[in-house]
Amino acid sequence: MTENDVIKRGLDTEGYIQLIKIFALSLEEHREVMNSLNVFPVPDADTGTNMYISVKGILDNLDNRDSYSDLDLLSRDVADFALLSAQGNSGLLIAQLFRGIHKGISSSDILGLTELAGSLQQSYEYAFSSIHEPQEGTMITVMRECAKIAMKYLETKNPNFKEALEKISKRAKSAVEETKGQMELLTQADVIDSGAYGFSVMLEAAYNCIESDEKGNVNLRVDGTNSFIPEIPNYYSPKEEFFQSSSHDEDWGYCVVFAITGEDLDAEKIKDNLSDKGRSLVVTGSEKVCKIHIHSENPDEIIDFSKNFGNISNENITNMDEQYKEMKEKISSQVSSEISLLVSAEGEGIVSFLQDNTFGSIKILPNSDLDEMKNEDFNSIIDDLSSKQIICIPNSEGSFEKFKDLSKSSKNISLINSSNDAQLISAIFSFSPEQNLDNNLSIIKSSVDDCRSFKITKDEFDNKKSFIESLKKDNFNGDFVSIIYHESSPQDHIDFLREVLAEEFEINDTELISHSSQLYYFMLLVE
Amino acid sequence: MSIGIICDSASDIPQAYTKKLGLVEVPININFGDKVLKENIDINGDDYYKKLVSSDIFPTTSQPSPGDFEKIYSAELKKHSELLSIHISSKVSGTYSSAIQAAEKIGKGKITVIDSKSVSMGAGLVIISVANHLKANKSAKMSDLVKLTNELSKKSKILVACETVEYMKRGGRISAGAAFFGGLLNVKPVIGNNDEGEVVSISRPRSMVKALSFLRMEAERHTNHQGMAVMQTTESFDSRALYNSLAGNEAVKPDKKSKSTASTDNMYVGEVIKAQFGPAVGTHAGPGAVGIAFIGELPKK
Repeated sequence: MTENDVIKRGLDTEGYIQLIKIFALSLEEHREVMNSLNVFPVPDADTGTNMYISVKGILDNLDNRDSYSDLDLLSRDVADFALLSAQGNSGLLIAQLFRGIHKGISSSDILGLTELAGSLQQSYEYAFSSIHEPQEGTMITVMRECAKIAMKYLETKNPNFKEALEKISKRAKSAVEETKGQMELLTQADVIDSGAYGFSVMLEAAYNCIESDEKGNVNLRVDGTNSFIPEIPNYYSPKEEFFQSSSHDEDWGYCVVFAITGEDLDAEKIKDNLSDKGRSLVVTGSEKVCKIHIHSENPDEIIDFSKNFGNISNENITNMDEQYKEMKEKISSQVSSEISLLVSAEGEGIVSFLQDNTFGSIKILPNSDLDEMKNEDFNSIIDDLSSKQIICIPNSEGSFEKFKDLSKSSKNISLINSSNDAQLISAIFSFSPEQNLDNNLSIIKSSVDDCRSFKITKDEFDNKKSFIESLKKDNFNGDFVSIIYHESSPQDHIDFLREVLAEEFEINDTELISHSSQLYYFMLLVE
Repeated sequence: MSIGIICDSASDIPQAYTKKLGLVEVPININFGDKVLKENIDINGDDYYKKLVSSDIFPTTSQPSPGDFEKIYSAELKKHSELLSIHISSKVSGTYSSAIQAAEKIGKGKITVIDSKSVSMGAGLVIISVANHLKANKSAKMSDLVKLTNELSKKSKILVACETVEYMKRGGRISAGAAFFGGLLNVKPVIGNNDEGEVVSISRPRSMVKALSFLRMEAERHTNHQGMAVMQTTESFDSRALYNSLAGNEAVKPDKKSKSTASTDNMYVGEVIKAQFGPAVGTHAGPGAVGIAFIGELPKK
């Protein structure tokens, strides 16, 4: 008996259908996570839904058929159904898995280890060739890595189906983690690829159900609890910053998906013809049915043009601009804007520092504007913020009084008793939009009270000895110091101050923030 | 017959307490590359953090399966007539839902599962308090224990100061919450539970000293403390400093004869429990993280 005889055991027709059910159930459970991860090719929050619907579609089609006894026949139909129901980029890619499985089975009566490895290899090849410009860091990458490890595993001494699937599923998971670094867009948003993630969830779920004994018998075990579905990671969602970045605010247009049916269809030819008509082109299929996915501003033109190849069906056109907008709003609302900060500050350096370092919504008023501000201007700023609650954080005694005056008649404004830039910065870092107003106010207030800062005027700085002496007198110490310097101060003044901190006070951890206030020259904020 | 208390290993209760109080702990799973390890059975805390720092593979944790719970529930139902099963927040882990599934399947109304809406010792303190109450009142009814558990859960707070954001990033736990905008280098994020049991961003001090004083201040902002714990991933200067500053209060307890461990003002004079973060929190908080948990009330205005 050769090894091949042992490892040929695998899934039969019933097992294969069961497997697709497992896929569908786990995608259904993870669809929202995937939607929230979706930033490529268009952040339109539908990857999860698309993948789920695509796989579910196979099952719906199978429901209308008699039961199958021939695995080859079943897998062929599954591949066709997958193409027909495929939605979106990810749906089309996942359809390649089912095409790959059909090819991998190639008239065998069982989906065993060799067939599985072959299927994954085929899936990768189909997926790669179906995309107009394949990108690293997508489901395609993960398919390739899975195929590699499956092929390699075939060479081990006593290969075992369960162990193979374990290795494949583990590799899929790690490959998904790697996608974050493989594509610029994912790195920026700090997320993994959504479709790739879905693919690995399917594999992990399959592994959780597989049982194989010493003899090599392979079974799928599914209980009613769905406990085979991998746990949902709670915290996957893209950086909000990504959605604020204007470079992604271009128009996305429409997502156009449809099927072409006919005789002797040539997917390569169709792909070439459509390649200059839009972005994110995917063409895939057999001689009888081809599925097209393309992003374009003119969906009608695409459909009309494609009538040249055969009959058009299963059209699905969605407006991605609207989808993108919805997702952006969803993310922004997750970071609650119930509370907004309204602060005063002066100088480009500190303004951009505050903008970059505030978690949540902030509006910064230049002190000069605030000084001149009339009630109606202030009220319209408050209206624009459209938050239920506003916390005002002044950066000087003058702006405290001004804020106090302006907010007299407003019930939803809380004023913090801060009077310099150091206290303002402390307050910003103590604010969390994920906390309620009372907690925020109490934490911000105590951070302002506890804020340790040291002001140095130009005169004091020029008389170097005296300010070093007073720092010493003040028991100046800490782990981290923000140096807030006047934007007119020359580099050697800043360097001198850093030297003093390092040599006299052993503080080497500093950051620099510039300001343009006339009230002081340097301010040191100690943490 | 009696009532038994079940918890999960993610509540990070020190072994001395689980033993003393007869708590039964369901281990959570730690997935390290190819291996699945049961917390506190296959791997202990210190070994875990050694591996976390040295390994290229990022470990993940997963909830015990309903099957894991079934086994323990059936064994415990032989010893007790009823079981109270208290678990870490369902917003953070599927442990609670596994427990519910198992309880529905084999409980026949004898098992009550409660979501503590907190994690680590935030849940642990609640469980310890309830177990202490049961120990002192052996005939306590289930309905009273459930009421007590829910009341304590509402007052239970946990705050964790992370030395580095690196592990939160590696774990992919970038909630809308973790706020890693700009100035990232120096931020020591403080995370904690909210009323819904979610773990959210609380504050972002920029030095550990400041973070520790923040934790202490938050504890002191509350009154009528009914328990306190200091947690750490690994033994560190920071965790010792926080522990000593809080545990020191006992020495200056105003009335040494008083049996009550609850403080009347903002100073807590009872025992401060020292605990170690298990992987569920520790994986994301990372080495060097220090936390505080307490049961207390916010003063009324």
